[in-house]
Amino acid sequence: MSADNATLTENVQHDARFHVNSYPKFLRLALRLCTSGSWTFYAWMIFLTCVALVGANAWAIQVRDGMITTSMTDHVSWGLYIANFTFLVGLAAGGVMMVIPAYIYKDKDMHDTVIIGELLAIASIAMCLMFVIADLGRPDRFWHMLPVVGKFNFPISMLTWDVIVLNGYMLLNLHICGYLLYKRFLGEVPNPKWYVPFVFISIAWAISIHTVTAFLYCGLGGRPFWNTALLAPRFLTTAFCAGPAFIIIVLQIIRRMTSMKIGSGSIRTLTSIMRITILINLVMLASELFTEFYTGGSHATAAKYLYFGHHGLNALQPWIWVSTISVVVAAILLMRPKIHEHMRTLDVACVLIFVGIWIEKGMGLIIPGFIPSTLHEWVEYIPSAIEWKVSAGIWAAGLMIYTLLLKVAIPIFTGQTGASSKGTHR
Amino acid sequence: MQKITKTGRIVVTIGLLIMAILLASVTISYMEGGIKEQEEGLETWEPGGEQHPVIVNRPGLMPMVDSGKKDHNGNAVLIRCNNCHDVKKPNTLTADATQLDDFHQNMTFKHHSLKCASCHNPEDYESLRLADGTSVAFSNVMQLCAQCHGPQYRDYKNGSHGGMTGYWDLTRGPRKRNNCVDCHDPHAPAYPKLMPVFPPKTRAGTKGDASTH
Amino acid sequence: MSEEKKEPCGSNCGCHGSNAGKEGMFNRRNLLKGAGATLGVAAFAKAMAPLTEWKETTSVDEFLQTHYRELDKEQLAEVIARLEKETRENYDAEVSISDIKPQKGVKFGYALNLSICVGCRRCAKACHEENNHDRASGNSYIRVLEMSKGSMDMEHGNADYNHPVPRDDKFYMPVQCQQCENPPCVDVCPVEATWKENDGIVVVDYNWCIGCRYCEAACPYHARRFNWTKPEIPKEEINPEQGYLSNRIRPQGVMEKCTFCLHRTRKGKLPACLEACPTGARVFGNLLDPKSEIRTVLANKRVFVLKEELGTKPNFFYFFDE
Repeated sequence: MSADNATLTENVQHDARFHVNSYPKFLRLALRLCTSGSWTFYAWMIFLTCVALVGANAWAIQVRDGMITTSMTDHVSWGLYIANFTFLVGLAAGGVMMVIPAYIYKDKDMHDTVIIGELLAIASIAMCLMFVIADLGRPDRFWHMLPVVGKFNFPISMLTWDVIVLNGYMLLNLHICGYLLYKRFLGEVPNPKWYVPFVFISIAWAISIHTVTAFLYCGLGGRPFWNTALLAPRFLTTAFCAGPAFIIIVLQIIRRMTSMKIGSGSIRTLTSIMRITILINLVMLASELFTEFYTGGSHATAAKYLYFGHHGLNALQPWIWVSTISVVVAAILLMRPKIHEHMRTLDVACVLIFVGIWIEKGMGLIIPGFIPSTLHEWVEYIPSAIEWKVSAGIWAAGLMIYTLLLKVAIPIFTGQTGASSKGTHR
Repeated sequence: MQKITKTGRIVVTIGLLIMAILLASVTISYMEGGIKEQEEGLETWEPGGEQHPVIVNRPGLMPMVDSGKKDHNGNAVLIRCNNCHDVKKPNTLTADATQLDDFHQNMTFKHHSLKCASCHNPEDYESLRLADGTSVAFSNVMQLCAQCHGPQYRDYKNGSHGGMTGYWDLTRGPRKRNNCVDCHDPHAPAYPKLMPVFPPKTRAGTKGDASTH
Repeated sequence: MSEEKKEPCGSNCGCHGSNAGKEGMFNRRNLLKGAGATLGVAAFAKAMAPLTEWKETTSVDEFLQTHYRELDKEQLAEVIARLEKETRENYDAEVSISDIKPQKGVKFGYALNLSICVGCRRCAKACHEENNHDRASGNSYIRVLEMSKGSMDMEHGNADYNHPVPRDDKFYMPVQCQQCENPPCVDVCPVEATWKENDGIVVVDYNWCIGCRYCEAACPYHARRFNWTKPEIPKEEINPEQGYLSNRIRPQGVMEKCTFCLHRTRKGKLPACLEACPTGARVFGNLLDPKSEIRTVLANKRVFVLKEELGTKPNFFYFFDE
C-alpha cells in the first residue's frame, strides 16, 4: 500500500467495542461517498438505473410469461444469458492479472491500483449470478440449489462446483477489499496476516473459476464442439486478455476523473500481459481450427456452420468474423513498439479485444455448441428483444455496482475522503 | 523473509483446509450414495402365476365378396363365396382379375407370382389351402402366410412384428395382437404408403422449421 | 469510546468538517437524494409489477414443497391432492394423479425394428396426447428421423419430412429418451431434480426442477424438453390418468422427458407409443425376464444403440431384420 499523503499508524490493537462503533461509521461514510458526486456521476448513475430498470421489467415479464419470450428453443437451449455469464466469469478471473504482479512480483505501481481489479472481480461475479438467475426457468426455486436446505448435487454436477467457486471467489474478494478499505478508513496499516494469505488463495481461486466454468461445457460428450481439452486453457487465456483490456480502460478513466495516481507501470504491465495472452489465444484458436477442419467429420460440423454457415443458415457468421477480425487486429496493434506510450492505439486494441472476446466466449462458443442439435437438426438462434433488454439491464446493474465500489474505494484509498471527494467519480 | 515464510505457511494451511473440506464433502456425498436407495418397501415382480391370454385378432369366419350393389341402408350387399363357386369350375391358373368375367374385377393382385389357387382352396372356396393340400379356415390365415414368410412369422411370435395393445406384463392383463391381414392385404401385401401425421415443431408459434438437408 | 481513538477517523475522512460547515447544502442535497431514491424504488416496483401477476399462478405450498424422495406418504398425498385441485382450477378438468413405485425384478427396455418402421409419426402423436403436452408447441418426446439408406449418420437425417412414407431410398428412426444406464443428464443436474429409478426410468420431479436446462445441454439424444410457457390443453383433451413423475400437466419453466409412460408401464400396460405403432416396430418389456420379447430380440437380432461411443449405455435398442 502506498503511503500517499496520509500518515498511517501501525499495529494498533483494538477491542471489539471499538469496531462496533467504528464499523457503522465506515459504512455510513461509504454510503455518503457513493451517493454524492458531480453531475456527471449523477447522470451516469441515472442512465445506468434506467437501463437496469428496463432490464428488470423485461425479466419480470419473462418470469411471468415463461421463457417463450426468449428466442431459445429445445434445440438451442442456452443463449445470450449463458453467453454473457461465461464471458463475465472470465472478466472476474481476469482481475487476477493485476493481483499476480502486485503480490508475487511486488510491482509497486500495480500494488497501488490492484484494488481496482479486485473490485472488478466482485462486480463481475455479481453480474454472473444475475445472469444465471435470469436463465433459470424457475427463479423462485433458487433455494433448491443451496446446500443443506435444498439439494446440492455435489460433487457430480459441475454446476455445483461453479456455485462454490464463484461464491467463494466473491467472498474472498469482498473480504480482501473490505478489510483493506476499513483499515485505510481507520488510518492504520493493514495487517498482512489478515489479507495476504487470502490474496494468494484468490490467485489460485481465480484460475479455478474459469476452469470449472469451462468444465461445465467440455464435460458434455454429446456436444462435440465443446468436448475439447483445449477449452479450459482457452478460457483462461481469453480471460487474461479481456480482463486487462477492461482494466486498462478503467484505469485511464479513473486517472482522468479522480485524483488517484495511476502509475504508468500498471498499464505497461497489463499491456505486456495482453500482448502475450492474445498471441497464446490465437495459437490455441489456430490449433483448434486446424484439428476441426483438417479432420472434418461430425466434430467439424458446428465449426463449419459457425464460420461459413450451412445451406443458407448463417446467423452466427457475422458475429464470429467480427470477433476473429477484432482479435487479430488487436494482436497486431499490440505489437506496436512502446504501445503503452500510444494510448490511442492501446485503447483501440483494448476495445477490440473486449468486443472480440465477448463474442468468442459468448455467441461464438455457447450457441454453436447447440447447432446442429444432437440429432443434427438445424435450428438457428437470434436473441429476442427481451433477452437483449435483460442482458443490458444486468450489465448496467453490474457497472453500477462497480462504479459505486470504486466511488467508495478511491477516496478512502487515496486518503482524501469527505469534503475533498468532490469530483471523484468514474 | 520471516514474514513471507509465515504468509506462505498460512496460505498452504488454508489451501489444504479447503482441499480437505472439498475432499470430505466428496466422500460424504459418495457415502450417502447421492440417490437414496428406495429398494425397501418395493414389491417384487413375479413372472410366474396365472397369465392372461394373448388374443390374436381373427378375420371373420365367413369370407364374403362385395356384389357391387347397395341395400336400402346404403350398405354394400355381400355374397358368400360358395354362392357361385359351388357350381363354377375353378381355373387354377388364374392369376389376375382381368382374366375373370364377373366379380373380383376391381381387385389388384400384387403378391409375387401367386395364383388364386395358391391360397384359396379350389375344392371349397370358403376355406384356404396350404401347400401340402391341407384345408385351413380363413380365421387361421396366419398358418397359410407362415408357409412362405417364415422369418416374419417367427418375429411375430417373438413379439417383434405386428402391432399390439394391452399389457406387456401378462400376469396383470391380456394383450391384443393384430393378424397378418389386418395390415397386409393378402392380394397386395406390401404395406401401403401413407402420409405422416403430426409434423414436428421447433417451439410454440413456429411451424416445422427444423430444417435439415 | 474515547475521543482520542476517534481522532484518526475524523482527520482522515473529514466528515466532521463537511457536516458542520455546509449543513444547509447537505440538507438540500439529502432531500434531492431522498427524492431520487424514492423515485428509484417506485420505478423498480413498477418494473417488477409483472411478478405479482405471476405470483398468483404459484402457491406458498408449492414454493415450500420438498424433494419428491423426501416426502413421506401423507405429504405426498397432500401434494397430489393439491395438484389435482390446481388442475381443476386451471384447466377445469378432473384428473387423478397416481404415484406408482417401481417393482423389484423389473427393468424396462425398449427395442425398435428399423426394417419395419414406416415413419408415419403416429408414435409421436400418441405421445403428445398421452403425456398432456402443450398443444400450441406440438411437443412430443419422440422425434422421427428420415435417414438415407447407406448411412447411419444422423447428419444425413431429417425430422421435418412431409411426403408419403416410407420412401424406398430411406429408412426411419424414431428417437426418444434412451433411459441410459449412465445418464449424463442426471449427473449434471445441480439440484438432483432428475434421477434414475430402480426400474431404469430416468424421471424428473417437476416441482423441484429449477429450469437451468443443463440436462438439456448434456443429453446426447435430444430427449429432454423444456416448458417454455404454461402448457395449454383444452379440457376435453386432457388425459385424466396421470402420474406424479410422468404425464401430469407440467408447470411452466421446468424440464420434462419421456418416462416410457411409467403411469402405464408400471401397471403392466404397454407404452402409448407402442400401442400407436401400426407396424409393430416397437418391442417393449422387462429386461430382467429372460423369456420376455425384449430379451428375445436382444438374443436373436443384431441390435445396436445410438452413440455407443459416448458410454451412456442406453436401454433403448435398434435393430434391422436379417
